[in-house]
Amino acid sequence: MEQTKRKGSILDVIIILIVIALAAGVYVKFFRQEKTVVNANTVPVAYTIRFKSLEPVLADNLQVDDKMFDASSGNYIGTITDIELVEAKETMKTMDGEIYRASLENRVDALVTVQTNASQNGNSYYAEKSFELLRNSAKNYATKYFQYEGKIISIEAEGADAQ
Amino acid sequence: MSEKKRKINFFDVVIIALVAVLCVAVLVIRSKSAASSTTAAQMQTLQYTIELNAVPDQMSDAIAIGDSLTEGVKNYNLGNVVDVQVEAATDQTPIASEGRYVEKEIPEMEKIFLTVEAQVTESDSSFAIDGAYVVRAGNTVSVKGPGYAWEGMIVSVNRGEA
Repeated sequence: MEQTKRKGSILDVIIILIVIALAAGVYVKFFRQEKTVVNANTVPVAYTIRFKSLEPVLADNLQVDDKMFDASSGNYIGTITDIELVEAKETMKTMDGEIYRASLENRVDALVTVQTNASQNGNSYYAEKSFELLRNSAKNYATKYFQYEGKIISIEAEGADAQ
Repeated sequence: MSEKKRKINFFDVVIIALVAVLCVAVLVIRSKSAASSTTAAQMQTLQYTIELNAVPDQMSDAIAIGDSLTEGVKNYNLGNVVDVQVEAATDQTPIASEGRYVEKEIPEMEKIFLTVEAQVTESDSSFAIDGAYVVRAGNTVSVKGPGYAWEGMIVSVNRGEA
């Protein structure tokens, strides 16, 4: 019986390339993910989130030194450095055509200041290099004990004018 | 018909070696991941409070200490009731002449505070029931107990008990 010596075929090469691609994929997925950042240089940034119309018992769950997370991704986005509770107000239109900023009884707005290291890209700041800080954009923010929709009302970078 | 006897060549060896390395890498990654999740998955007891507002006033009679609560959508085990407090239900009412809202009682309705004790796993960012249902103040929750159900909000998570 005649035996033929098998040589590498194009199929072998394709399989090797696929395996190498898979290995590269595993490496990138598990070992290189943290290095895909917007900008390696970071600056200290303090931003303030307003959580509107909270019952006081709910606001009590916020504490200074708690870590803040983006509730959607779970990414860490800074640490709470200050909490101010102010009177909650809503716009009220009356039958006689008046518009008030009317206070709500037994409700407070929580103004929560968060300190983070942020990378900068033009006028945009990215908390912990991943979470874009957008004024007036409603997002869900979370600590270990608290989660609620809030809006950023101010962003201040160290050494820069208030945004 | 003549049969060709297939011999293993250099390319086959390379492919087998690459697949073996890939398998070992995946196993190492998975074992590291399992080890870290085992560390984080220490079960502990957590107390938290759910507020059920504007509930028909007979409902609190149906709730008893020790009731086992489940989450109404995916049946997570929310824990057991350890305390029940009942107040008058309230809502914000506009007083146009004064330009403000006041909190008024809603007749024939009540507000129930259920303190619940649950087994949770703790991570850096959350407490989770059944490894998936996150307990945080501010989250709405669909509560189902023995013979009653209502939607409420978690209003406090006890830091001392965790």
